[in-house]
Amino acid sequence: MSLLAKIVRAYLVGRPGYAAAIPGGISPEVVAIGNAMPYVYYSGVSKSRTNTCGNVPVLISERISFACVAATRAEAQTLADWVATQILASPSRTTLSGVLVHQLRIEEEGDQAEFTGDGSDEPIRTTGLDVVGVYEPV
Amino acid sequence: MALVVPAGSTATIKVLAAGSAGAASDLTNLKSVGGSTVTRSMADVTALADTMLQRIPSRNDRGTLQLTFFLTDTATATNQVTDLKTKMTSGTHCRINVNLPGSTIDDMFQYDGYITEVGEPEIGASDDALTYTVTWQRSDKY
Repeated sequence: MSLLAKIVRAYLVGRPGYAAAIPGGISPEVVAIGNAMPYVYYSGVSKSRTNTCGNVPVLISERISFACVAATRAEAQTLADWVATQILASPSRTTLSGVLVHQLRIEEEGDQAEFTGDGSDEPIRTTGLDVVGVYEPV
Repeated sequence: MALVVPAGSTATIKVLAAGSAGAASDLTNLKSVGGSTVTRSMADVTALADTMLQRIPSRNDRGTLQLTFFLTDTATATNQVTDLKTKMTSGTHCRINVNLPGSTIDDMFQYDGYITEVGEPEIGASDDALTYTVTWQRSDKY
């Protein structure tokens, strides 16, 4: 489980305008069928540690992915833009959820379209955001 | 038996006053140790009558030691890099001990000398932690 993803989720939930921007909420990895749209789900992509010569971690770097899901391409982009704006607004070297986060930044953004798996043929549009963050071990 | 760097390896520094070591303090956030190379120079003793160049062993040089640290976020006055810079500018004779837990070879890695260089971090947009490198010239003289 990605600690950074949980931290960023908590940060986004606390931002002004969250309820209006993401009525379907932010969920880890999967979202229940029938969840309100638009919504966001996240997953950890990779995690690496920076160690001292004594093999003690001093920093942890994680790449996490946020999928911003909506019924239309425009809504998905608006949602992704809101998430990106909040992440860029986070001050560097700040404590989030009790963890000293040195930086958060967005590296990649990509679009996808797919059909839902619940038997309906309603398409959903997804814009993925890859977020990279560095924090100190707790 | 070969060794790998054990978890918990540390280094300490002691100020040497007239060759005697004071209290040890930890060097924090040590990233790596660039071990010194001990060399022995050769003196040219070729005589005019020799047809070949002749050399014999002369003086030993214990070389330099380089330690690389992660930059810590402490106030300038208490920052380790400031402390090491001060030791350089004041010409403080120091002893570095590199301690490898579980080993019996720690005494091999004791270095007396003077700081000759304090490098400052290279700064750019990346995930890499900021580091700086300090160079010691090994010497027993004070």
